[in-house]
This record gives sequence, C-alpha cells and structure tokens, in this order.
Amino acid sequence: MKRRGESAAAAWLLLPALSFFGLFIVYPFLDVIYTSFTSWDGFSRPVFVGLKNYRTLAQPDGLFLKALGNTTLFAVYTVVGKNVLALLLAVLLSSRLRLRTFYRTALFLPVCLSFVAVGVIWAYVFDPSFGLVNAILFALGKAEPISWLGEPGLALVCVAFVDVWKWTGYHVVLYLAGLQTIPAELYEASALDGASAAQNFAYITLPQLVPVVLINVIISLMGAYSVFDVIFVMTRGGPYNSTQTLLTYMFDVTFREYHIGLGATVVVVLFVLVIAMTAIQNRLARRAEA
Amino acid sequence: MTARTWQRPRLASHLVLGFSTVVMIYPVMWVVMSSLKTPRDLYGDPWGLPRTPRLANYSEAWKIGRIGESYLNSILVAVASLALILVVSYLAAYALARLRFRGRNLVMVLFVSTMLLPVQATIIPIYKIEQSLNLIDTLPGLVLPYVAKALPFTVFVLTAFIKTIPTEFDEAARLDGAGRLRILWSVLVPLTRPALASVVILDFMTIWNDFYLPLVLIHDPARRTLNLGLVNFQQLWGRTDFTRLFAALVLINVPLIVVYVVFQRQFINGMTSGGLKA
Amino acid sequence: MKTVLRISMLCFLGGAALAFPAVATAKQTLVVYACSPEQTTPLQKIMNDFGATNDVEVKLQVYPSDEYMQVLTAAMNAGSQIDVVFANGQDLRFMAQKGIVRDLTQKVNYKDRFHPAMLVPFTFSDHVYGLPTGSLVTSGVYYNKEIFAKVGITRVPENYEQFLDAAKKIRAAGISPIAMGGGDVYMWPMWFFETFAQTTKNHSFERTVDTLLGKAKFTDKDYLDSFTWLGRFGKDALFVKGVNGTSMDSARSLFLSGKAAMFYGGTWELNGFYQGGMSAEKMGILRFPVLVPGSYPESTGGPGTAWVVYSKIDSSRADLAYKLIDYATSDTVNAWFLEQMKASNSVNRNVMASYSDDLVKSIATEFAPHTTTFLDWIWPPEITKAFQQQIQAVIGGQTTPEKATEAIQKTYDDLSKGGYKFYN
Repeated sequence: MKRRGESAAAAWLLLPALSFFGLFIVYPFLDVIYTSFTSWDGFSRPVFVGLKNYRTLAQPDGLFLKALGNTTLFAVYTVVGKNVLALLLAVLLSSRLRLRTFYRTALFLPVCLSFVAVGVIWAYVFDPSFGLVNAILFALGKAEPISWLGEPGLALVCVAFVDVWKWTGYHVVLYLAGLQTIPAELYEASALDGASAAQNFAYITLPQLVPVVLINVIISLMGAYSVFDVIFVMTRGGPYNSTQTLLTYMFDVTFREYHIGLGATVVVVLFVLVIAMTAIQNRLARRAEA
Repeated sequence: MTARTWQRPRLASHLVLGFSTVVMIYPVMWVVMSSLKTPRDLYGDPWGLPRTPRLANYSEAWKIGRIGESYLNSILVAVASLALILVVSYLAAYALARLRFRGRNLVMVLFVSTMLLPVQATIIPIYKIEQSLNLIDTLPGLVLPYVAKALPFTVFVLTAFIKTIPTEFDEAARLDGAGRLRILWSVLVPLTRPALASVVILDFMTIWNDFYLPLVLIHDPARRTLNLGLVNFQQLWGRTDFTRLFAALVLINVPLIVVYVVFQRQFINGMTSGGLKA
Repeated sequence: MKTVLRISMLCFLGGAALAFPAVATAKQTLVVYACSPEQTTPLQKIMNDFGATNDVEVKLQVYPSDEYMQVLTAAMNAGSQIDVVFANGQDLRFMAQKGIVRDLTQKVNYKDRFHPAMLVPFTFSDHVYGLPTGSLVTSGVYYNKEIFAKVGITRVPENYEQFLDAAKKIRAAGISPIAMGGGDVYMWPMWFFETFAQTTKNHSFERTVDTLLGKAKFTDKDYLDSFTWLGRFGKDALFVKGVNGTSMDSARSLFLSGKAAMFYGGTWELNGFYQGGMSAEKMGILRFPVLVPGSYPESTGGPGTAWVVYSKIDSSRADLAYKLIDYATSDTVNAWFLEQMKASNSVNRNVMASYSDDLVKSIATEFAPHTTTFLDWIWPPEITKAFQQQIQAVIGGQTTPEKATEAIQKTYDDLSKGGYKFYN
C-alpha cells in the first residue's frame, strides 16, 4: 500500500464530511470562541473585552457557579441512576426469560419520544393538583399534596428522574450488548468451582464489563453536563435557580439578557469540560485494556 | 447468546422487569388514554379510562395542527438528511478505519469532541451562513445542518464497526481487481448492515424530534416540521384543552415507535459488535 | 440499498424544488415579524387586504412568543429583510435604546387615535417609537359565582380580612381559594405590581423610574412592605397547594373544573375561560384586595404589543411600512380585529367593542380606567428575572422579604457597575 496514495485517497473520502463539518460546526464554534472575548448585545457592534467574561463567570456567589454545582449534582443523580438501573435490567434480560423481547422493546419506548412530548407528559404527572404521583399518594393516605417541581431541592431530583426514565432503555441496550461478549466458558468454569451468583457477578461479569461501563458512564456524563431540553420544558431553571444548569444559564444569559458574549463563554467552558472528560476516559480505557 | 449456567430467580426477574416496564410505559399509555377524553373527562378523572372515547380529538388535531403538511415536511427532511448522512459518513468512516494517513487521530478527536455541542450555542452564526446561502425558510436549509450535526456520532460508530471487519475481505476483493469504492460498496456495506440500522434509527430519531432548528430557520407555516408544529399547537390550543394536544402528541410520536419496533433486532446487533469497540 | 438511495435523492430534489423561495416578482414585498400565534388568522387577513390595495406582497411571519426575540436577533444579525416588527413594552425599550427601531413621531400624525395612556409605554423622551394595537389588557380576580354562593360568601370581598375569611370558607369545602401557576415565574411580578401599587399609595410607576435612575433603592420601605404582603399570601394559604409547582395551564384547569374558586390574571384569559365553559352568569371579576387602607387597588396592565418599524429598513420600503401601520391601527381595522379576537376595550380612543356582556362592560368601566402599566416593561431583564425568582421564593417561604429585596438591589448594583443606564 503506497503511503502517499493513501493520504490522497483519504483526503477525497473525507472531503464531503469535513466540508459539512467545517461549515456548520467548526466555523460557528470558532465564531463562538471569538464572541466569548467580546461584550455583545446582539445588535450593536461587539466590543472586545478580553477575559472579562471569564472573570464574570468565576464570581464567587454568581449564578454560573451555582449552575455548575447544579449540573454536577444532576450528573451524579443521572449517571448513577441510569447505569445502576440499566446494568441491573440488562443482567436480568440476558437470561432466558419469557417476554424478554417485549420487556426490551418496552424499556426503549421512552427513548423514542421527543422531549416536547416528554416534558408535557411529566409536567402533568408531577402536577400538584392533577398529577399521578400525588393521586397515588392521596390514595395511600397522604392528604397533603407535594409540590414536586416547586420545591428547590425536589425539582432537581424530579428532573433527573425524568432524564433517567427517558434514557435508561438506551443504556440497557448497550449493556446487553456488552454482556453478550462475555465468553460462556468463564461461567461454566466457575460453575464447576461451585461459585454463587453474586460471586459470578463480582468476579466475572463486572471485570469483563469494565470497558462497557466506562463507555456508558462517559456517555451519560457528557449528556448530563449538556442537559437542556428536559429542563427547559419542565422547569426553565427554577424554582429559585435550583434547576439552573450550564446550558439553561447560557440560554437565559444569551437570549433573555442579551449578553451574547457571556453566553458564548459558558459554551467554551462546557466544551473544555467535555474534552477533559473524553481525555480522561481515553486514558482509563487504555489502562483497562492493558 | 451466551447461556447462563445458573438459575436466576425467575419471579424476582419478572417482578423487577415488569415494574420497570410499567413505569416506562404507563405515562405513554396515559397520554393515549387522555387523548381520547373530553376536557371535562380529563379534569374529572385524569387517571381513569375515558368514559366515551372521543376520536374527534384526533381529526381535529390533525386539521388544526396542519399535521398532514408537517408530516410531509418532516419526512422529506429526515429522508434527505439520512441519505446524505449515510453517504458522507460512510466515505469518511472507510477512510478513518482502513487508511493510514497523517492527521487521522486529529480528525477522530475533532469529531468526538464536538459531538455534544449544543445547537443553541451556535445558532446565530448558523443563521448567518444559511442567510448567505439563501437557504432560510427552505427544507434543504434544514437538511445541511442536520447532516453536519449527525456526522460526529455516525462516523464514530461506523468507523468502529468497519474496524471489526477483517481486512481479508478487502484483500479478496482487491485480488479480483476491485477499486476502493467498489470494495466499499459490495463488500463492506453489506457486512456493516447492523451498524447502519443503528445509526439510521438514532439519527432519524434525533432529526424527527428536533424543533429548535426549524423554529429559527423556518418562517412559513407550510414548511413547519412536526415538533415545531407541536410547540405552536401547544401555544395556540393546548392552554386550556389538553386532550387535543395529547392527540397531536400521539400522532407525532407514533412513527418513531414503529420504526424502532420494526428495526430493533438489527439495531441491537449493530450496537452489539462495533458500537462498543470504540 | 440502491433503490433506497435513489428514492431519497429524488425526495431530496423534490423537496428542494418545492421549498426554494419563489422567483422574485416585480412586486415590492414587506416582511412583518409577529409574536402572537393566536392572532395569526386575523393578522393574515389584514396583511392581505393591505397588500391587495397597495399592490405589495406582505409576508407575515409568526413565532411562539417565547422564542420570538431569538429569531429576531438571528435574523437581524444575518441581515435578513425585516420591515415591520411587533414588540412588547419590555423589548421595545431595549430596542429603542439600541437604535433598532425608527422614531415614528414625525412620520405618523394620528397619535390622537389612541388613548393617551396607551402610548406612554412606547414613548421615550417624547418620541414615539411604537403604535399600540388591538386591545388593552388589565388584570382582575376572576371568581366562580356558583362556588361563592355554595360556601356562603354573600358579599364580594374587598379588603384583606374579607379575602381571608372567604378563603377559609372555600377551603372548608375542599376547594382551593386562588388558582395560580407559580411554576411559570413570569406571572409572579403581576402580584408584586398590585401590592406595590398600594404600598406606594398609587405611585408605583414614578417610584420604579426613580429606583432605576438610582434615586431610590429596592430595599426601601415600600418595596419591603410589598414583599412582606407577598409572604403573607403564601403563609395564609391563599393559593392552591403546591403553587410553585403548578403551571399556568394547570391553574386554568383548576379554575375551569371548579377545583379553585378564584383565578388572578389578565383580561386576556377571558376568551379561554369562555371557551372552557364559563360565562358572565357563572363568573365575575373582583378587584384586588385592599391591603393598605387609603390606597386604591389599581389593576396592572397596558396596551398589548406595538407596531414598530425596523431602523435598517430599506428606504424604498419605508413609506410603505408607515402606510401599513397606519392602516393596521386605523379605527375600522382595529374594530374588526377586536371582533375577530372577541376582545373588548380597544387601545383606540374612538372604538367601542361591539362584543360586550356584563363582564366586558365592568372591565371597561371599573378596571381599565384604574390601570397602571406593567412595571416589568420598565425593568431591565436582569431585574425582572431577579423579581421573578425572589417573589416565588418568598411565597414559598424559602427566603425572607428582607433577603429578597437585598438580592434585587444587589442585581441592580452589579448592573450599574457594568454600565447600565435607565433609558427613558
């Protein structure tokens, strides 16, 4: 294989993809990076202000740090929730069970729905007066309705729950695939040694699944940090800024307060975070393969 | 399927899976039930079955929400985007998986790192570009950014999957005198069908469900896509009467469910092999 | 696979052909941006009529109000054609300050067409930047007459003690007193406008201007008293339980289904309530309770949106644009528009709504004359957001009135440091 020939061929093959990518992703992003160094209201000429926006974000009792904190908390809830649940369900589904395909299809159903639909549905479910959750609690004897999306701490949990609800099915599929790649011989060998189910799980399944777990964790982590749609539809960042996340904050700042420069800065920070997480995952993955 | 050589308690499995399924499905079933009620029915007994099913909600939602029109637009945009995505991504994935060249790693990192860039962040520059290309308020104007946005993930998955196919297949075809594109088309594409199925489903879902890009780029109501129409519908008609809104919701989300159910086996296979060797 | 590709290529081309904008005709076109989807049909007819008489094509583009400004921003940045734009009071102040809209003072000589109060929110330094359209809106407490009768409320409550008393009777019957969508924070400032109107002895507008000019503080006594009242509303359980987790849509449902006896909101709700089964027999409108003896419980409101002309409009179209807004705000068109929207109380001085019942009449005679402008049309967006969050928290008991006003003052101080100047 001629090296030079390969580079030329590669160039042609990659040209269409790189053109699309360059025009609609790279160029706008460079524009955003530039904007983060300016103060701009969307109408007048942008004014170059250097690192001022970055300093604004770093303000100790500022809203950005609160958003970052909320996003991290949201990430903890959803990454743990999705992965623990999905792994459990995948393990159960990987055995010979009747109705297996039905369960698998049903679990994936929420993944197919648009977030507009998901927001409308769950806003109703969590409604204090009409909602299902309070209706069930009422039937169980609790007379006082809980304000699910109205209490600062609770709202974030509810929103995290909805996100877990929507995406667990997707992770179940990924974990199922991973479980399938574990050679049967390992289990057969351990059966000869008289190992219990728990021991199997701890000493065979989990270690073999490490790369899969890593992938699922990274996907859910990146998704958590860039969450927007579900919060935008359900709580808009409230109550009392308790569900304000990085991107909802960016949205408010850019489109409600016309500080486009500051909003761009949030995007850059998020991007750096994502790159860092990807890099760490790569390193961990390489170590796991060793 | 690897056989499990120990028995998992069957009842417990069914209980856990069954409960999870109920939690996953009930809200959806509830929307369907509610879409058949009258508003009075809905307020009076939100969680029970409709007293007399009211199919008129569906025909009204269809007419008022101009759902027929929006369906056509969504289908056109989705199909066109998918066609372009598949062609463009496959060429790129082949290059990244099979060819050795300088900058290969850089390109991969570039793609992966921009996977989660939110569209809200770059909407103003994108609008400017579309404006200069004279593509505002056109369906092709929606297709191009969708293709760009889907590229990172699609190329990523396809590259990983192609890598799992032994190069012996390529060699064999080459010995028969086939050039690169021929190899791609007649050897690799058939072998990567499961990955293609996965990618088609996920990209289709993302494009179908998107409403932000059409919101900004489409002005003419006749060119609205489904979820944009839904948001409009909600503002116009969903304020006091949820039943028709729910009917619209059902009408809009049904195709996705159908697409998934039909393609799910290939989808799972696709996620199985290559998708994980990333 | 090949067939799939072929078919999709055909679809793509077909879609492209269908979708490409029509070949330019020799006609002039005017592009109008609007933000109220519910007004689309009558607006379209008005545009078409104007277009027919003046041989121009008027393109009406309507967006959901939430996303309106973003789309406008993107369009402006890209240099799209924009000629006439709808703007509400909040946005117009910002747009006038940035020079986005044209000064209409010299171009339109029919300012007397409107109620003087309707032009105030769109006038800065004696220059008119926008023309009001449609109907004026004001606020009131809707109440369900049947429920009131059922629980034994014989006289409509007027001061706070009477409201508390009524609320107790209503709660005893298992019904919520006031339905309110506290989760939709943009509604909370209206409650503040009401309390503030009273704690400032009906000088809320002037006090707000002073505060934004830096001559007064958000921590002054009248602000603090307002917030104390708001905290009391929450503590005295006037609202539906879980108010901060309830949406406005849900609140409307509560009122319509009889699960709540009252609903505080704007007169724009009237139509929706009629469609939901209410009528002038079943429903009435009360004034906000008198909290501070000696002040009048003013309603809060203002004109709806305004017609404005984009400052960068092509000069060849400018006259057409002025003609369009003249036509659209004329008495005949306005009267017709109100008829279509089943609205009452025009912003035009000489237009009487043909549609009227007892409720509409009471709005016109009792509420409209005593209406003070929405204060969040004067506040900058950061202050509005601060108010929204703090009011919600005070009602929910998560913060105290003192801390709330301090937080708002801090927002203002940060803004001033960043160079904010109130544009008047």
